[in-house]
Amino acid sequence: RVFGINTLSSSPERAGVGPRIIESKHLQRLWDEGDQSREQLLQELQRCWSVRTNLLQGALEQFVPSLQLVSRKLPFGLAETGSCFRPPDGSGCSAEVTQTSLVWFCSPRTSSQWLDHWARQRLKWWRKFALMPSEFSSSEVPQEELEGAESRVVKISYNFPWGLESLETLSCRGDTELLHTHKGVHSKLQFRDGRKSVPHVVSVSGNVDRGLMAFLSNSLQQLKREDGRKKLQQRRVLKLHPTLAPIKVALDISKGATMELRQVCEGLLQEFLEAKISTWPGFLETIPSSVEQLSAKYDEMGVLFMVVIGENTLESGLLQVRSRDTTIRETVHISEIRSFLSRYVSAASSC
Amino acid sequence: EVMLHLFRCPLQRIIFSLRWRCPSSFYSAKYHSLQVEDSTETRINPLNIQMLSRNLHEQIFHGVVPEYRAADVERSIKHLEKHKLWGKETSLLPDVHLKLPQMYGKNIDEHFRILAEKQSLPYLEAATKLLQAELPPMPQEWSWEVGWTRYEPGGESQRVDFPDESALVFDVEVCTSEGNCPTLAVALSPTSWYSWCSKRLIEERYSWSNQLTLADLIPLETSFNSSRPPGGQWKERLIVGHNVSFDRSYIKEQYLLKGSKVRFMDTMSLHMAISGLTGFQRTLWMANKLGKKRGLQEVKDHLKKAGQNRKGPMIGSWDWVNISSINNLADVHALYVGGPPLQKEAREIFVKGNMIDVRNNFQELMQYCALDVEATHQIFTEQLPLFMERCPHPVTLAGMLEMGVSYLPVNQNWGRYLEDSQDVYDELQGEMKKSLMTLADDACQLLEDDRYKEDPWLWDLEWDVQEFKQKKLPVRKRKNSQKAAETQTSTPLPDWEDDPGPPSEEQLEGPCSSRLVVEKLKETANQLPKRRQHLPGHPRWYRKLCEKMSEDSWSPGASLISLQMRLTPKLMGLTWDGFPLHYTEKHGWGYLVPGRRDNLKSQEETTGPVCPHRAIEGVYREYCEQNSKKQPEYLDSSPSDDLMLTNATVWAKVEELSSLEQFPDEYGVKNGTKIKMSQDPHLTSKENCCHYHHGVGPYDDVDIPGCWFFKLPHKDGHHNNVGSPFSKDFLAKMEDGTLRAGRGGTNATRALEINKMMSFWRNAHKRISSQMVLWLRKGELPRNVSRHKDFDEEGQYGAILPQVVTAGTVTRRAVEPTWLTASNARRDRVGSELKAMVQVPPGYHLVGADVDSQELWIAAVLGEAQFAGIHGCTAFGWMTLQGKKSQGTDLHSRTAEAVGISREHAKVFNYGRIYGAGQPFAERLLMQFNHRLNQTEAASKARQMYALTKGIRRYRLSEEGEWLVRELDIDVHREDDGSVSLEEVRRISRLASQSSRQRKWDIVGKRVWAGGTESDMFNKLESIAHSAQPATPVLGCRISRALEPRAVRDEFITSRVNWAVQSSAVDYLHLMLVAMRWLFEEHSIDGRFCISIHDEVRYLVRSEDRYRAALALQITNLLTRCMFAHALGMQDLPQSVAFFSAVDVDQCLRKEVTMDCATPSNPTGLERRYGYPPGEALDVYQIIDITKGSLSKAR
Repeated sequence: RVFGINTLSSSPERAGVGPRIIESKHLQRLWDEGDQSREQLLQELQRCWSVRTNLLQGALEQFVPSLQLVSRKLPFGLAETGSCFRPPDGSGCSAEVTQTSLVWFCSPRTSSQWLDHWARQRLKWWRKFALMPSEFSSSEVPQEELEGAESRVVKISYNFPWGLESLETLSCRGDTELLHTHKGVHSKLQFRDGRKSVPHVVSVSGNVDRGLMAFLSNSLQQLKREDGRKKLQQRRVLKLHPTLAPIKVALDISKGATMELRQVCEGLLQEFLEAKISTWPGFLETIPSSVEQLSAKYDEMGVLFMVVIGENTLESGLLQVRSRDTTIRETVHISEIRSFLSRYVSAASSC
Repeated sequence: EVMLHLFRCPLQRIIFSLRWRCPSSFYSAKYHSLQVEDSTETRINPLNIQMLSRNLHEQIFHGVVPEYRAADVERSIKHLEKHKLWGKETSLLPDVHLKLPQMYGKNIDEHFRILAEKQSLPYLEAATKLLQAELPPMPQEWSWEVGWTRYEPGGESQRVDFPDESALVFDVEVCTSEGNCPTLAVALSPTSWYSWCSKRLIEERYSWSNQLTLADLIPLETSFNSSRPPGGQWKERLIVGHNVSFDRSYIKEQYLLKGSKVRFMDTMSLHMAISGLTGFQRTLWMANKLGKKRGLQEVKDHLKKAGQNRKGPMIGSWDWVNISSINNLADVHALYVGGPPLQKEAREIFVKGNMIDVRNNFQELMQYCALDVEATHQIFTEQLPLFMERCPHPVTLAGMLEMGVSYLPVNQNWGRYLEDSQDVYDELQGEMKKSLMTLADDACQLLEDDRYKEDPWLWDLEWDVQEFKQKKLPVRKRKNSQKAAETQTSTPLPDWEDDPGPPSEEQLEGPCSSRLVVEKLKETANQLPKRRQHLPGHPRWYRKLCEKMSEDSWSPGASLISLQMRLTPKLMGLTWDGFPLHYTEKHGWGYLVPGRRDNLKSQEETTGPVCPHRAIEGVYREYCEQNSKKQPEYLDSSPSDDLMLTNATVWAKVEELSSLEQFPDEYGVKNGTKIKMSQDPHLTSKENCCHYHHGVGPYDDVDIPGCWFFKLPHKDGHHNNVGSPFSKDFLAKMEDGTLRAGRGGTNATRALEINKMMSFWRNAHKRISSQMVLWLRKGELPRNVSRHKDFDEEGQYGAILPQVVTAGTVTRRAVEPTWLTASNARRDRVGSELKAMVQVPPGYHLVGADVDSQELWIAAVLGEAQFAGIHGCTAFGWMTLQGKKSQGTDLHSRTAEAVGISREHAKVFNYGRIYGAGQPFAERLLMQFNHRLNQTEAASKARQMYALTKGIRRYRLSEEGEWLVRELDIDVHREDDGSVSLEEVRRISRLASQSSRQRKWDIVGKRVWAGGTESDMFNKLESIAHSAQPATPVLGCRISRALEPRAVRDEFITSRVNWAVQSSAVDYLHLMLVAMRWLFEEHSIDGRFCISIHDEVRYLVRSEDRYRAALALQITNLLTRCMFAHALGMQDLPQSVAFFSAVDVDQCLRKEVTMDCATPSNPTGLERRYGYPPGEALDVYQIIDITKGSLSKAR
């Protein structure tokens, strides 16, 4: 069982070494007072709230109420997505990153197996949406590179054109951090297994920003082709997985733009939006461009389909639908386009 | 000596004795001594080969001093000089000091006899009881009760825990549709019949657990819910069955880690040893059984299919058909017992029916099972005396008994392995499909401007598209709408910059006008045809790959695509040496080579797709630019495993080819030419030939303008068509870059790679996941396991009993489909870590070793005994014993160097030759290793290789020949040994026929090999094969009746030659098993036999005894090799082969103790994932160091 949680991004925790929030005026004042020793200044700074560098701490703090919620039965997990602040990399500024986190509480005996389980599941998840799944890989971090409470760490990485970068880190963290967070009070932390043990923590933490980059990089396909005049052209397509593509369909009108055609587009747009199909209202564009230019643009945007409404549509209800993946233009009747799109997207996400 | 007097039942008066025969006495001529004397332990023979250390030699050979004749030594030195081996530097090994256990008998042969007799005595006694028994009448009515029932002769029956007689004939039936649980069984002892019914048969329940426990299995030694025998003592008992290893896997006690002394005799294995058939013979036998006439047709078909369409009678003698049979019970019964044929129809119910069917036919099925048992008993009664006569050495039987109880320990990791492998496999399959779908999508782009016409691969696909159809509208309506359209188009565009202000109330409430327009337009749906077209606008080939939208399982894209489809290689743009692949119905897969000019036609003449030969030229040019440097003729990279045939597969290949290999020099004079390739009528005539590319073809009947068509080479010869370039045979070609993906970027390449990764699991997963694993509960494990500090309460501990047919081939080698053929783990093969999943329970180790170059040594020592009786006297033997890879004097390096091939490839040739493969095999294989080699080159290389190794044929004149030579006063040129060359034979025969036209002279007597490094070895092997009663030289086991010259005359020679070596290797294994068992018992080493994989044995041993077991293994090897030498009349052994180069002490089953067995399904390797560190590989010096050279338990 996994529960979603939402925790504070900053806390008055004292011991932290990461970035802290301090009002600039306050800092100014401290500075201006001038007579404080270096120690006093540091102490003052220590009093400031620190911002989180990861989501783990928040979840650990939520453990006790959650354990009661599940009547002390393991395993369960706490999941969260939110901004975290990277420790400054020398420049003094801390970068904000969006992280995902699953903190999994399980019996000490099974923690290593759970780590394997989640590593597989997570890798599967990343690969599911990839055009070239093998670029995503997982690897175990060598023992000598482990830090702190970690007893085993698995990293999921993406092979960017510039090299491997890790997207997600899974680690077996034992019970030390949990005990520390709760000041070592065993009794509150014990679960039901007949042996009064404290659960072990498996943490899964991902970097959403880099994950997005990975998918973008993975989906961009550059296809060489020679056109009729033997001129080398490149077709660039962002073949994002249908589920991930931010825009599923673009609505455009062919030559002879008229009020009526726009009205049809408007109607379809509404229909699509109601069906939760995100749509690009290309027909609102006032600068005319050729169908070729449009499709090139949409290919780069990763739009799955371009629907073109033309004169013929008003007569027979027939639309031209161009697919991003095959570049083939297909004729579809206006009564069937919405269900076609819905079915396409849902079928693609289920397989 | 065991001497058992048996009476044949019923009450036959013929008394015969079942006793071990003594082999004929070995030669004992006195020679004048020429011994190299040395005061130290080190002993060197006259050929500078280091012999056993003095202390070992004295203990084993009881002070018999080997003597050498000066003439022999001289002859040997001359021979070695000729092959540039004499005087090569050799290095000395440290001497070995070891106090061997007390040995029995006068010599080592007697020692082994005594051991084996002692080991098999109780089982032989039990067998005798079965043979003598007057069988009780079979019950008329079978008891419908869970567990065992005993039937008294009087008709009454009673429940028993298990049959407790010392000998049983036993048969189990399993209703396969209901899982792997035994359903019913029948046993027959010398005094009573027994039946057994499973709980699942008697009690009807909605569902049963899939996981079997000991209680589900058939008890033969223990009562219910107990895993100890009554009285605490295991008894020696014998179970007889047909293919008894199958029945064994359902016997409860066999899964226990320790204990049972039950042994098994398999009537199928006995049959193989007495009258077994080779693979090819089996085909012929079955064809013959179907009726002589039809049979011959079948044989013809078979030969045709195997590409053996040569003229002349292939099989001259059919006598063997009547004294042999294939392996199933009914045919074996017909052979040994005869009488009315066995009825096997009832069996169908177990195979196809369910438990209800079994219940409904219970009496009938019990009866069927009992009849099988009765038949098995009859067979056994006939077989055993025959077996003892034909395999007269007691070691053979004792070894087979030991081999029948193999045991593979597994734990919870087994399940994990199955899951991981399947998981990774499924994932890869998904990824591959994704890649292929992307390729199909991308190819659609070629539709635009008909660009497909210029594509070197896709030009001949079906590119036609369907137009979108609509029903014709009534004219009136159409006019209306046209009018409407006109009016609509006239509406001016509103100014979009103008803000119309907030919408009115009506606008907000009612559906907006634009929605209404859309809804109205939807009404035109009535113009659509009732049945929707499938993907109009898409090319036909693409449409075929897509599911119809109307299907429930519909998913977008070319989801039906698979690797097996014909268009897939084209979508991937595969090339062979830079030429695009092409498929034709007639010739299968091939490739197009541009440059042909004779069939260019003007565009108008042709209908249908036109080949873009210019584009094909472009592809090839690009390829040439990329490979601007000419490839060396032989890529000396180490070949892949797929190419590296295992020994078993080499033999399979040799056997297959030998069936078409005629002996070119049969009757010397007639037929001395080499075999020509059959001329394919479609092959292009010379003039119109492609000048820059050699390959299989070109085929003129494939008329593709501007291109020649060549076939992809098929492993079984060129008349076979290649059905898929993705088959296993081409994996190696993909690895070396001959076959590669020409486009689609990484997608196609990746798909190829995935195909390779999946190949092992695709072929093996069914067999592997159906392995029957039995998990033991804590109480069923010995205490030393359950109380061990590493025992995991949550873990699982169990075993797999591999169903090994102890003598499954005509050479008496064991056969089993999963474990005995499993390859080693490979980095890029899913699931190939299989063997490493055999993992010891806590407190145990696996101790085992591979016999170093077993078959080479056996062949070599046979040759040496033949030549001069000195170790190292033949070039072949010398290389095996003393050859060094570093000096290029080992066998494989020599061959490699001589022919100009890689050492790994040379290995295959060397083994092939020993297995009896001739030149055609070498030719074929050479071309397979290097497809760029043409026929002539290959033939010349093969000839060269054979002249160097096997030598050339020479002839001894027959008496008649000698007489002729004397009479006609012909001056014949002879070698030292008196043999003459083929030319001389021809000359003599010519002269003879000139002088008397009428008479046919039979001038050739014996044929011998001469001049090669292996000539004497082959002469020995052939003399064994041609002798009236071929028998293995060491244990004197006779060849199957179906291969004796009496039955087959001069046919199946290759099989017989191969048999001599292979069957001796089996003798080797049997000797080892007997010696190991003796040492384990004598020195209370706590362990059991685990498995033997041909030249490899593994024992499961208590950890504290593991080094003593390793020492025992080393001593075993020493004694076994000495036994070989002794049997061949050489009372000595070279030190270099005396001990295993390494004994592996490990916790899982793997080829090398350091292999981490990382595969795609086990990416982190054995140590990380399963916690198994590398094991130890110990040589004899290390072991002596650890054990202080003592087998005794330390106090």
